[in-house]
Amino acid sequence: MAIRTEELLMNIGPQHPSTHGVLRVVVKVDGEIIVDAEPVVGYLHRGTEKLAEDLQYTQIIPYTDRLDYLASMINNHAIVGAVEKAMDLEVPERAEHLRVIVAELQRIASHLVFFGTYLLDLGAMSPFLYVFAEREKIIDLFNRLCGARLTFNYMRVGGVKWDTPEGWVEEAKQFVQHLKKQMDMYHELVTGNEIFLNRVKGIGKFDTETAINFAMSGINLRSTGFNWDLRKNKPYSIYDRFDFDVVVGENGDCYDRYMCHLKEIEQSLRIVEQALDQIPEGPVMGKVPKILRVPAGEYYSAVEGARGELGVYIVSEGKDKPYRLKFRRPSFVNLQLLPKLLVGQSMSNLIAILGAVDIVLGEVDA
Amino acid sequence: MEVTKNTANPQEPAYVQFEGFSKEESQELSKAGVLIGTLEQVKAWARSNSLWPLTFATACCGIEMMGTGAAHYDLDRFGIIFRASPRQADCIIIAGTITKKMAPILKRLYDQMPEPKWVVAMGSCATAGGPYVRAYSVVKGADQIIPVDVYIPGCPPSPPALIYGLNKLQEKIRLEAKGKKVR
Amino acid sequence: MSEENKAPEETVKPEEPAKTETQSEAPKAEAKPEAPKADAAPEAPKAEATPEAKPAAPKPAAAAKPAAEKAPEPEKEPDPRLIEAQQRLETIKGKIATKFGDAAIEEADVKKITPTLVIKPEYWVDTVEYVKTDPSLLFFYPEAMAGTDYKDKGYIEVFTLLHSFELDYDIALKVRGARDNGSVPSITPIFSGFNWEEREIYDLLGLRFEGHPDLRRIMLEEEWQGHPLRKDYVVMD
Repeated sequence: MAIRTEELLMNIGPQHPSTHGVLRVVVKVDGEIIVDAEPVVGYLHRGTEKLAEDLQYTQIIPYTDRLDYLASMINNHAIVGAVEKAMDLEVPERAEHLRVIVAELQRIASHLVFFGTYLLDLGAMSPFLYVFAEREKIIDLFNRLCGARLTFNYMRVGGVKWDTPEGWVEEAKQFVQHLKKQMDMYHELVTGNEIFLNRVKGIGKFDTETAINFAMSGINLRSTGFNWDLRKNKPYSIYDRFDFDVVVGENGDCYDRYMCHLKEIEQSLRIVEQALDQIPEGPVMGKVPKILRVPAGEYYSAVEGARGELGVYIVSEGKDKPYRLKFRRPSFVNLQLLPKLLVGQSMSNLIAILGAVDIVLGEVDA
Repeated sequence: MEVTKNTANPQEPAYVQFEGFSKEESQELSKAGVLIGTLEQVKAWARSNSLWPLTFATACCGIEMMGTGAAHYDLDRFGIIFRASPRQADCIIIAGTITKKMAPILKRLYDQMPEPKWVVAMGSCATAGGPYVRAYSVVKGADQIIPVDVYIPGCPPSPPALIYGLNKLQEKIRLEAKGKKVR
Repeated sequence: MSEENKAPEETVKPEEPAKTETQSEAPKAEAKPEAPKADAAPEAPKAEATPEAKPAAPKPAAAAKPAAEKAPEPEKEPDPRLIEAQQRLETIKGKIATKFGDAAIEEADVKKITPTLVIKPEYWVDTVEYVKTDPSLLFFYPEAMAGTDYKDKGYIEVFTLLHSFELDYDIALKVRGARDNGSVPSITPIFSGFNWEEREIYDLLGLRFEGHPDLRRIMLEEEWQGHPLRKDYVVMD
């Protein structure tokens, strides 16, 4: 005898501990199976792009800190990189190295938070406590560098704001060695765990063609086996000088995305290590005009953010403020695929799939 | 347990400083092992040492709030344990920007919390709109929607600042039980 | 889980048209100009900047004219990336013109180093479909979309950036719609990745996309009055 089931509308969020912020998902379930899902965004829409039209280019940098607040340094890099490209400005060597070091450390911190919160979503508490202790060490390094813990406002057009304090480079080197050891522990702790594997293997699968059509980027695209990393494919800053591998997955499921995050931490550690060894002496700020005026025209420039391609589109009229500034936010674009991934899955997989897409709501809503 | 001795005044006997009690109360308690107070005071003492906040992390401040709850800063030692449901929460830490779209939800969450309840506005966005004060979609401070007890400045406030703010809230709860007006 | 660097062509498009073989050399050359510039940089700034240890807000820059930005070395020969962009623009423009006629293209220009084509709305969907599927172009990665309000000129412009893995190149396609009750055809059926971007433009700029599967406000509430990213929007409080 068949069990009679009924469709039920269920609301998740915007206040929910596992939606990583204020995302709301309205799902239609038939028993345990999801038949329809609709993400509702905009609960953190702060109008950054409108505010930016009334701000000078240097004043926009702190607002980018608050977009993807887990990867503020990379956001800084995106906006200063875009303005520098538009104005053809040169950046001193030391500043370029410092930028790469902090951007990669930030990527590590961001991926560590992914690791902790993803496991927390799946019901494991201890990884969260471990990674936040590690992240605290990175934050301390940043804190010594620029005085802030989360919203750094560190990079400037033409360089970086502060040179390293005494002993910073040595400390950073020690941290890299420390984290390398810790990574083995994380793999031992989680990666082989039977319960974890059952929750993520083969779940939330999509192929390369879908990912490209949905404009996915970053780990979401690479987990499908497609090699696309802006650090390699459209080299910016000085990334072409470092030896690192682009981590790609095979199946495009949640497990691959999890593994890509962990392996990317290892690759980022490699870059940080090389950059710390090669860092030259010299100034950290290049010669830039006091008031930045981007020549009239349109510019698009992108960096590889922690979550994908973070692009900045500037329309300038030749004034010190942009006519229009648009951020191509990877989380916002990546989230579009969510309904497609959820349909047909059981309710218990919802959080596992949503967590692996790895979104930050500050970036989704801007 | 640490015994405090007043070196300036040797006449005063040594006493144990108890968590959540004033100096006089601690002296009283050390001397006789008995403290006479009102039921309200006892309730306030218990409440202030087991504040369960609702996780209401809307933006950047939420990450610092998570960091405060994690191993390094460890909010648990103050009896503060995050709850995911407003029905189980005593206080709400508004960690982040409140947009106009979010405002009705915040009001609803606040209404769902059982009495007594307290509100902490963490960071400049929740205090007054912060850097987004000129944005078209942002509410200029959470106190336009619900009453706020403690404001914590910063963008975002560091974990020690959050701990300080929560300690101030505990103090407020205890003082109010003694009939003092705290604002 | 393999960390080896697979070539993009291997995974996505198994069969490669004969035409792309000649063009595949070009993208490699395009990436090159970055490298010598970056290598030459260490000596140049170091030599002149060592005396001043901490040039925070450098004074010599203030003396220089802010508007007149020049390349650090007075190289007279034009940027090779610019030349390539112009060549590509001509090729793509020619292809679109032969397919749809000259009337399809409103404007064609190189913005910085990106070939940019403004397409007439009535040819918009067909042109996007064409550059996506034509075997010699294959611009099938939708990278970015943005809308801009040009109040004085009376239109809202939609900018899309498409990437071709075959050519390893970006082009920008644009379409314009009227500010007042204007609309342009939607390309969401071609690129699913532009679904929310189009909704965002509709929400914040008020340009309608005909044929969009789900055109609703995305960031603001349904009852919201006005479109904030328009230049004449007045913030209420």
